[in-house]
Amino acid sequence: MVPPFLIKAVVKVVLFVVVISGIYVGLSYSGLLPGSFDLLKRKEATFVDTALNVEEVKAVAKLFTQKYVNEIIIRKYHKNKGVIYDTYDELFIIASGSCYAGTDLSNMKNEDIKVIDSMTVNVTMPKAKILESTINPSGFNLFNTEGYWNKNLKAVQNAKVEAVKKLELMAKSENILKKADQKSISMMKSFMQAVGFKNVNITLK
Amino acid sequence: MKSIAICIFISFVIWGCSTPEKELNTGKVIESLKSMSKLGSTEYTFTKILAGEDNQWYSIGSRKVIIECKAHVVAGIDASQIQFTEVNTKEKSIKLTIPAVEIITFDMPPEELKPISVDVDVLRSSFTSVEINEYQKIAEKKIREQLKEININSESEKNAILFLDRVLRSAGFLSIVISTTKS
Repeated sequence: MVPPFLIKAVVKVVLFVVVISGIYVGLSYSGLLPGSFDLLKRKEATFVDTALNVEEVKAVAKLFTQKYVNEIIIRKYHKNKGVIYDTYDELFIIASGSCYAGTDLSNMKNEDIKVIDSMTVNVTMPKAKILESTINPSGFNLFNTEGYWNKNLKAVQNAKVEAVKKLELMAKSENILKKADQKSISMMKSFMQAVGFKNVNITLK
Repeated sequence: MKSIAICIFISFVIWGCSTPEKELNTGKVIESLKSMSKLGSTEYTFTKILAGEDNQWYSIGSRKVIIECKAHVVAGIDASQIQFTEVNTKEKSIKLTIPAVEIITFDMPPEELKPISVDVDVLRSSFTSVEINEYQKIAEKKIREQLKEININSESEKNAILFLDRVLRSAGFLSIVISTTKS
């Protein structure tokens, strides 16, 4: 039979240890502990440095004439069926990126530039299009990833792809293509005038 | 018991005072539509494998992840900086100088960032979306750093010259000299 005073003493010690541990964890969590004392501080993951491989090199001729920059918010909910009531897991992403528009001159043929006389040239150019919509990893801020979204990497990836598409739509709603066409025409005109043509006629196909 | 209650109260206060991990930061980027005049002459596709290991002293077992990343980079010149040094329409000769090559766009599409292998020990929790996102940011940083060491200038310069030469020949010029400004 354990004497009661011993049980009391053990309980006191255990409680003391629990409380001290609680305070330590609290201080560690709140970041109030100096680095060397913070044994619970999470160590950064280590990465093996691998080479950067060049997969493809392609010659292009893309005239980038408009850049649209914006921040996008993606908010999604995943329904978890419950016995009494359903719960929802929230995904909240803030993404910032750029959308580029311009003219792809890569497929322009020699006959698209017709010299009429020493003063006049006719140029046929393709219409402007979205050349690139970019949201890089550094542009994604996963503000809230509850339950389903925290474990389901694929679902979050799909939400990121959606953000890129949304950025492109927003750029289009700002008339980016029309403005890109205008700028491409003015650039081609200036170029041809700089090389000596006074009359530059540009048509978009 | 009184002292224990005080200690518990203090620990809750400390916990409550802790700073939140993230803060909502909207309005950092202001919506804008700007004109630019860049001629992209070369498109590069890079791949990188990022192999990471998460090992904490207080946890049993480790977690390993291998992420395959792709980056598309367009390099070219600032077309507004092209300088025509000599234009002779009668003799059909032209001399121009193009500016130094620069990176115009850098794109790491989310659909091309894939964890190809995830190895988590039984007693460890699997990687979260936030962790994978952080690792992807590290991959981006590493690719941007390594890009500085790869010579992408000569290829882009060559392609820009070839394109301008083709346009000028179509415009009737026979003697074309294109030089470059060294950065």
